[in-house]
Amino acid sequence: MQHIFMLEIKDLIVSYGRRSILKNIRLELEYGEKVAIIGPNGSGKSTLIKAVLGIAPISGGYVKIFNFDVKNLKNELRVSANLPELYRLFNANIKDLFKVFSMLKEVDEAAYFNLCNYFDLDDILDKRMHELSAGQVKMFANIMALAPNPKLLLLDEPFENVDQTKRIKLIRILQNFKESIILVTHELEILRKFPEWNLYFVLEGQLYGPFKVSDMDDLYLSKGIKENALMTIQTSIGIFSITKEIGEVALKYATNFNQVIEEVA
Amino acid sequence: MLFSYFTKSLLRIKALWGWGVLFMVFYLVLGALVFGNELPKNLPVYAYVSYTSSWYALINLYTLSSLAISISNSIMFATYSLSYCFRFTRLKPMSYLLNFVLSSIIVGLTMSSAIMISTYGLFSYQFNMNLAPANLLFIAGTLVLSSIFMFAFSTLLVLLLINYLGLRNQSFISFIPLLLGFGFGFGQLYLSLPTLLLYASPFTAAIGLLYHGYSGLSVPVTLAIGLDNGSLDVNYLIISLASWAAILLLIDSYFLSRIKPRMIEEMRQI
Repeated sequence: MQHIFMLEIKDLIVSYGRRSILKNIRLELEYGEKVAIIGPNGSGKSTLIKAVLGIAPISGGYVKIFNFDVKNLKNELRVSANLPELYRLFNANIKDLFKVFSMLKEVDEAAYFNLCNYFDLDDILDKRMHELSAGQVKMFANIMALAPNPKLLLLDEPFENVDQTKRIKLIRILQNFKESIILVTHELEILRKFPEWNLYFVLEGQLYGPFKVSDMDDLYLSKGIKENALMTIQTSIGIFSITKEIGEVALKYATNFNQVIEEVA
Repeated sequence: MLFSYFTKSLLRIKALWGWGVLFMVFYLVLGALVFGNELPKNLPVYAYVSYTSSWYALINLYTLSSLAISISNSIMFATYSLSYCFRFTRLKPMSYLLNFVLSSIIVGLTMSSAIMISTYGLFSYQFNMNLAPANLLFIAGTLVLSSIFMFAFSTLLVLLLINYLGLRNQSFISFIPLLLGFGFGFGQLYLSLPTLLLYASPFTAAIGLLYHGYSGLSVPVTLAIGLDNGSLDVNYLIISLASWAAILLLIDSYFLSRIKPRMIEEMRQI
């Protein structure tokens, strides 16, 4: 019998015009598996989340969720994501958006309001999205993604612009989350809170992995092809090798992936 | 239940009240107090009724078209959300449309009430006679059909823009319903348009039906000269308007289910 993945991405190509943003991406996610995808700004991390949601122009390959091609997917309630633009259905305050999306997701609206209260964000309820700060918008989108308790949770930079106390609360929720997660970020520091998760690198639209987040502090990035390379990465600024325990730039000293690339290049 | 949120949101748009009601009332003031002065004082009553009803029918259609433009434009801000919602929530394209249709009817009837009351007050004052609408129920029914048609038509234009033409052409597309409303409206007012065209065009059908509802008179082929050029069958006008509304809604549903996510930044002209 054919094995059914929660998420199956095969030879995925996403292009805007002539420019390919994602190239031949392959990723398979088991039920309950959690994956962190790390890469510098502009590497295609957010586009990958959009492709999984079917809102990026897929020009090759496929994305299957619960064995259904995302292009043909309809009314699948078990997936949610934290991109703010997904929730701009109409110009309403946050309270009304919670109510509408609780209805559309078939979730008790208390789930949204409780999370809002947990994150100390009750003051945003009467505001509209355009009246929120960048951090508040991100937290609003995180709440929209988390409240339905989905089987597959897609998080794009969930900690960006978020203050320290809310980060800690969000980390606790994600550590206890039982279902599948794909989290994309450029912040290496935060990933150390999720040592059991699988780790992928994304660079110039290509995905490299899997590794384990717990192994991250033993990994190095070096310029050129090294003999002991676990994997080589081909970019427009040269070839890099990912090595273990020895190499040029240690990931353990880096706080974000942009810094790693700058140093090694 | 989405319609209640849509309605609440629509009723708060000040520009809609400004352009859709206040600006249209300004036109009614011109029609009654300025152009109305040019009408001879000793015409039969039905001539004043017909004049008033023509103004009402044209102006109310423009009100509905400005409402439809506001509603359908809001879809441009929701392309990502809609694309996500149809896949990952229980929202279906037709249910989204029907919720918008319902709120467009509610808001359309609210705005039209202001137009009708203004027409009644201004024209009755000018001609010193009671020029109340003849059949309120018929007008309400026509407004419902006209609201659905105007919404469905504007939405179709916006969906074509989103899926095929790109948002940069938004300013051109937005004015099409209004331009067609003006074109057909003034055509029906002053010209002897072919009867087939008057039946086939949803704009003239809506104007004819509103005229009939307000005046209680037969619908002339040329509104400005009365029945000399013949009259139109009200039943055919109803069938025409209802068919247009239903067909356009079905087409909208098809295009909506294939909505292409677009960055709103695309709308920037400069």
